[in-house]
Amino acid sequence: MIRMNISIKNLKDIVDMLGTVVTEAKFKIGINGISVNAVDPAHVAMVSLEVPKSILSEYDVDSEEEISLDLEKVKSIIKLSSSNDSLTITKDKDKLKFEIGTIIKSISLLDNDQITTPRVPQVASDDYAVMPKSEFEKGLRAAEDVSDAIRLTLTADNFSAKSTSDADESEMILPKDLLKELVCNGAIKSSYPLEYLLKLVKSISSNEDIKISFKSDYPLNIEFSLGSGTSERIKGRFLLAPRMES
Amino acid sequence: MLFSEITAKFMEMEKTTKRLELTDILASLFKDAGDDLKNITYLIQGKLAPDYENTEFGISDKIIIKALSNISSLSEEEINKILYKNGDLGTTAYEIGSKIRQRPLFKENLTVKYVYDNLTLLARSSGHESTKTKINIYKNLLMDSSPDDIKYITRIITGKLRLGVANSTILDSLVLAFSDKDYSDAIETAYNFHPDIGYIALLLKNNDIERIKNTGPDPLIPFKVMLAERLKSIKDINEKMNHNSAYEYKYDGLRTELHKKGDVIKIFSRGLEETTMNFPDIQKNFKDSYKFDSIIIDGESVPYNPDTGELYPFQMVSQRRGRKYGITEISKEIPIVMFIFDILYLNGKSLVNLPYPERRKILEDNFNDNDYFKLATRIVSDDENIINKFFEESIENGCEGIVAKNTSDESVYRAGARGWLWIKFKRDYEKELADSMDLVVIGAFNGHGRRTGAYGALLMASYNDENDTFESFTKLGTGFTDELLFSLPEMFSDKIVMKKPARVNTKIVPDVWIYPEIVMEINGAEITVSPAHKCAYNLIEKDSGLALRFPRLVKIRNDKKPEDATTTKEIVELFKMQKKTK
Repeated sequence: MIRMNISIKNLKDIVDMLGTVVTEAKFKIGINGISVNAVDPAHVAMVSLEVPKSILSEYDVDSEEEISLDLEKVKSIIKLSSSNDSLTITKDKDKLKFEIGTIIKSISLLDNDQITTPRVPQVASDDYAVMPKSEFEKGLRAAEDVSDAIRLTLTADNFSAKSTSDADESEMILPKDLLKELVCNGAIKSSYPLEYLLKLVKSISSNEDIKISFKSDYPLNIEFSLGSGTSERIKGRFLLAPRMES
Repeated sequence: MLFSEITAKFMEMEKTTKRLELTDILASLFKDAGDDLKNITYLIQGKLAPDYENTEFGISDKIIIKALSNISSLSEEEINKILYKNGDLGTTAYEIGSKIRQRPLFKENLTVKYVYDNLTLLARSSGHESTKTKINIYKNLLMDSSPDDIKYITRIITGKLRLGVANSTILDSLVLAFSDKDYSDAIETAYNFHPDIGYIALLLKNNDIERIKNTGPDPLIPFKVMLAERLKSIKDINEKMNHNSAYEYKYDGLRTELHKKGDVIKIFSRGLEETTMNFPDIQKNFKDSYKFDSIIIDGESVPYNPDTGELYPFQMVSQRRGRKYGITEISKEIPIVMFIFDILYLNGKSLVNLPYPERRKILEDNFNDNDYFKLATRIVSDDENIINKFFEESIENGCEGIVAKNTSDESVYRAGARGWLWIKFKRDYEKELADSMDLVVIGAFNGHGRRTGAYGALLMASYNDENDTFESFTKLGTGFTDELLFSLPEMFSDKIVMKKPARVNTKIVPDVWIYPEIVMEINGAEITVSPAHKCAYNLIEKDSGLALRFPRLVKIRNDKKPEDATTTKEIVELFKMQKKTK
C-alpha cells in the first residue's frame, strides 16, 4: 500500500522542478522515500530528485513500487489548495487519491511501460563552485537576449558566464570572495543551452545555494535542495549536456 | 543489427540504378539481418507493416520542420530555405543533424529494433497530443542518430525513401539470400495470396518451402485478384478457349474482395487497400444475409438506382470512396449490389485449386440472390450467335461487356495473374485501339502560352514487370480539363525528384522528373515503332521501341499502383493484335 501526507510547498517544488524537463514522470516509491529521474525528449537535460521520508508527516509504504503520473494533473490539484496546506495521497488500484481538506480528487496512473526510465549517466568532476542561486540567475538573465547558449568558465580566481552573438555580448564574473566555495585544479570552460539552464534555476527558491561542477565539453552538474524541512531536505540534481563550440 | 548497417546499404543502393546490383546489395543485407529480417523488409519499403495494414506515420513535412527547428535553434523559415535548396527533407535533416552542436547526455544504441519500435510508436500515437508525441519521438531519434541515419529515417517517415526497389526486386533478393534453388513461381503465387513480404521472408529464411508452396488464400488477408486477358472478337475468344468456356457479364463497378472470419467481415479493393470503412452497408448486409464461419468471395460492387434497379456507372461508386462522413445517407441514395463471380475459401477450406465450374457450383449452392448480393449473370455456350446476343444484352443492362471463363479442369483461381483462363471482351474493342491502357507518369514538360505555369505534356511509361522498370511509351498532352491541368503541379509537387529515378528507362529527358507513383488511364489511336521510346526496346525492331500515337487522358487511376500499370508485354501483344487486324 501507499499512503503519505506531504506539504503543498514540497509537492509544488517537486512538480515544478520536474516540469522543467518533462510532462509525465515515473516515481519510485521506496521504503525510505521517493526518487525520480526525468529526462527531456532530446536527452539534453535531466532532473533527479530524492525525497526522504522524514520530510513527510505521514509515510506508509510496505514495498517498493513505481507509479507514473501526468504532472499537469497534479498541478491542477495543487492549484486547488493554498501554500500552507498539506494533502494526503493514497494509491487505490490504478488511481492516486488526493485529499485536501474537503476535496477528494483521484487521478489515473499512467502505464509505467510508456514512461522511459532514463539511464543516469556517470558524471563526475573534481572542480566546482558553490554560489547563491540568485547570483547565478542574474548572469543567465543578462545573457537571455544575447544568445541561446552560455559559456561557463571556472578558474582558481573566479566563476564566469558569458554569451556572445554577432552583435551583443553579456558577461557575469563572480570573484572568489562572492563564492561560498571554489575548487579548481586548472581552468575549465564549457558551453550549455541557456533555455534549459534558466528554466531550472528559476525553479529553485531564491535564497538557496547551488553547487555547480563541470569539465570542458562535459555535462554540467548542479546540486541543490528543494522544499521545506530543517534537518533533511529534498535533494536535487540537474544534468545538462554540453554544446560544442563551432 | 545496428541501423547504421542499413544506412550503409541504402547509401550503396543510391549509387546504382542497375537492378542486379540492387538485388545483390539487398541480399547481403537480408543475410546479415538475423532477427530483424521481417522488420527490415518493411523498412526498405519505407513501411512498418504490409500495405493492407494501413500503417501510416501521420506526420507532415511541417511537423518535421518544426522538430528540426526546435532542435537546431534555426527558425522554421531558415529550415524551409535549406529544404528549398535540397528539395528533400532527408538531406535537410542530414544537413541540420551535422550542424547540431548540442550533445545529448546519453545516446541510445541505434539498433534496427530501436528505430522500428520508435517509428511504430510514432505511427500509433493519435489524439490531440499526438503531434507533440510525434515531434518528441522524432527529436529523440535525431539525437541518437548519425546525420546519415537521420537522412533515411526522415525519408522513411515522410514516405520518400524511394530506393527504386519494388516488391519483385525484394522477393528476388530474398531468394538470392536464402535459397539455392529457384522457387520463384511458388514464391510469386504465395505472395499473390499473402502479399506480405515479411511473411515470405521468414518462410524463405527458415527454408520452409512446403509452406511457401501451400500458401493459399487466408480470410482477412487481401489477395491479388485474378485478372483477364483481352481479345478483339468473340470468335477469337471461342477459339482460344477451345470452345470450353462460360460467359459472364463484366460489371462496371469496383472490384471487391469480401472476407469473413468469425464475426469479422472486411472488404478490400483490388489495390489490397481495406475499404470496409467506405462500404459499411456491404458489411452489414452480408452479416444479415448469410451465416458462414469463414469465407472469401470475389466480385464487383455496382451502384444502382433503388427506384428502378437500373445499374449506375462506376463513377457513382467512386464518389463513396475516401468518404468517412455521410456514408449512411449515401448508401441510401446510392445503394450497392455486389455481383459475386468467384469464391476462394469456404468454412476453413481453400477452393482456389478447384476448377471454375466447381467453384461456381459452390457459389450457386450457397448463395440466394437478394437486393445486395447476386451471382454474376452467365451463360455456358460456344455458339457465337448466342454469345453475341448475351454480349448485347450485357451492354443494355449497363455492363462493360463480357468475360469468358475457361471451364476446363485447369481452370484454377490464379491470384494476381493475367492469363488466358479469363478473357474479357468490351464494346470499344472494335474501334481504334482495343482497350485503354494504364500508364505511369515519369516526367513532365513545362507548359507554354495558355499553359504557362502548368505542364504542357507528361512523359508516360509502361511497366516492364520482367526487369521492374518503367519504359517511356508516349507524350501525353490532351484530354485534360483546365481544372485538372492546372492542378497537376500541386498533385506532383511531392513527387518531383532531382534526377532520373533508378527504375525509369527513357531516352527522352523531361523538364521535370516525376517519381513513378501516379497512374493514368490513356486511350490512343495506334501503337507504332519508334526510335525515341524505350518501351519494348529492341524487341520488335533493332534500336527502336514502341510508342502510342495520339494519346488522350481518360482518367487518373488513384486505385492503381505503378506496378499495376499496363505491362510492356501486354503492349507488345496489343501491337501484334493490331497488325493482325489491319
